[in-house]
Amino acid sequence: MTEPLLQIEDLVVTLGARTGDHDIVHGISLRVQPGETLGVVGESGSGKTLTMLAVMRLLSPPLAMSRGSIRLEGEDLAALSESEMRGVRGRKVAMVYQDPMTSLNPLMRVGDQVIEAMTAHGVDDDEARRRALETMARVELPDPERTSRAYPHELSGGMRQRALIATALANDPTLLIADEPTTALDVTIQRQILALVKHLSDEFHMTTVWVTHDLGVIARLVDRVVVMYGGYIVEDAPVDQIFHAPQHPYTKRLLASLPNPADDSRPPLAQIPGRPPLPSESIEGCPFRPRCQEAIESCLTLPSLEPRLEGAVACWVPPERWG
Amino acid sequence: MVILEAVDLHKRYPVRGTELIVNAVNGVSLSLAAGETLGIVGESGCGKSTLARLLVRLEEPTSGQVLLDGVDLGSLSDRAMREQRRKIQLVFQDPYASLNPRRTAGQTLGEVLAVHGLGGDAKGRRARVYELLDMVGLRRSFSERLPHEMSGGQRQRVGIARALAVDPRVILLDEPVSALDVSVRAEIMNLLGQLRDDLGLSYVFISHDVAMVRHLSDRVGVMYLGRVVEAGPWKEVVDRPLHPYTLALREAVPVPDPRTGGELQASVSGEVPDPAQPPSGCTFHPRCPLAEEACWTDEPQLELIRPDHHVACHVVQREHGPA
Repeated sequence: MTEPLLQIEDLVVTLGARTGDHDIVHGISLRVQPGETLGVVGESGSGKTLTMLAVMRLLSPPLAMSRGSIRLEGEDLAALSESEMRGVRGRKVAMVYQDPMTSLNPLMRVGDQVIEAMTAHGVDDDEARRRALETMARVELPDPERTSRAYPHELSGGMRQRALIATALANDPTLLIADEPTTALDVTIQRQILALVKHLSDEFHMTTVWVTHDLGVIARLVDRVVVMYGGYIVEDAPVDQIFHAPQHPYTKRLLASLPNPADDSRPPLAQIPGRPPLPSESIEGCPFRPRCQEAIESCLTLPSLEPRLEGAVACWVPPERWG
Repeated sequence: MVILEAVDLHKRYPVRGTELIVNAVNGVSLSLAAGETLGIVGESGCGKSTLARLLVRLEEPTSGQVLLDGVDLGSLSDRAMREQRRKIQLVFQDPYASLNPRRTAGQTLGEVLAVHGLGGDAKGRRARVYELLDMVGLRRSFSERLPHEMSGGQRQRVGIARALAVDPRVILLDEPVSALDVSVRAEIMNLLGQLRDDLGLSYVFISHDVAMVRHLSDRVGVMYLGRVVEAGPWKEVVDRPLHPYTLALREAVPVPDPRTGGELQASVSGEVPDPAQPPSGCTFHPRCPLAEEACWTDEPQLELIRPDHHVACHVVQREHGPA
């Protein structure tokens, strides 16, 4: 087996640094193989975004990584100095966020932001200028020369997202993390951006992690899916198994809550009773237990992620009980 | 029986600092039968939210009429207008922005009742508040909660209770589930369906989400740059669309199944043009794969193509002919 590109071991992210601190991510472990496209799915508060911010080492107080290790190409990111980490961020691993308006600099022309992404990593000015236009063409920004002189507010939401992707791709990162990059966009523009990033990651053999709350969005994008709930990974499996043979009751319920576009009878959507746990709540055993209709007595003990079929699942309930 | 009717509605806005005019709503006619749900689907800038504001008379149309129970809202005195307005209520996308952060759910609902002289004395109003909370699936104790103490789904339930407080006949739902997590969306969609059936309400359900519009609507209208380009029964419009824009919209909807479809591709190129400078002829022509000469010059009108199914497209009208 090849060495994972990204290896997260026993990651704990904590809110607050004083007594009464709350863990938000509870010791998760995750590997991403080179060339793989991974989907990380979870709703608000599942810990999916914090996990990715920990990878970028962008957690800021009161949030902190309080345990565990994160290795990128074998290198322990926690051991790097801040200036070494700046060399990794953007060059080896880049992240694209949901709202390009807050991650682009509103006072700087978008072309200059793509150039700066490169010069910050030691590319000389002329080279950066040339490659910036190439990169902007690659993300299918119309008329790169002209667009490069625009300020973010002069671009549409879709164009801004393309510009942000251009800054992320400027240094040909090995790993791209896309955190809900299309949530704020219209559906036809969402589809354009999904197709673009998929095309680029295939073409440049870029390992990609898609972070989303919407299972539907990643169905045709990823090889493998990790489902997060309440700060834990509850299921990790190949995409086809997640959609056609989900092993965790939460995954199954989440899928059932989506309207089926082929069902003309339009039955009420499946609901998940209750609500996700707050970071301040401590739940005995499985985090999904209070909402789980399949829960049994063993669920009062925290299940660990154990291999099942082609993937892994953290659930005590044998699937034949709820099949 | 038709309960709500819009006749050739127009809303024009001047663009500040320019000579330009935006035709936000450009000749929209629609009718809503009692107990029916009319879905309006379209993307940013299509005019769907302006249409909602015109229908509830939050804004005055530049021209055209809105008839509620056959009465022209524009012809009414202020007082008669207030009476009539009670019959039609609006539920917003972001319940957080539409609720007063310093008022409890009970105060918000009680105030609506008091303003409209409903529910009798303070005691009667309190009983009615509890009844309204119960209708939207919230416990009585909820009347003490402030918006920041509620989840997104709970806030939207309060928003719906507020609309129900005045016994409306018609509710306009403007992206009511777009800001919610997937599993919470299912709850709110189910609640809306159940309230419609129990109370005999009529809905105008405005959304960019084709899957949700398909799930709840009896009839569907598709808007593009201020105009309705296709309208008819839900099954016809969503599952057998004729207009090339509806096709692109439908194709862009993520299907929660990795086994569907081939390579992920953009469903339509380009973005919605600036509504202040719309293209000539059919405003969709610059992005349309079917566009021919007439589409550059002549604006197509809605024509009946199949039973009860109207389409505004020269090519469709020629190839499918009138019904």
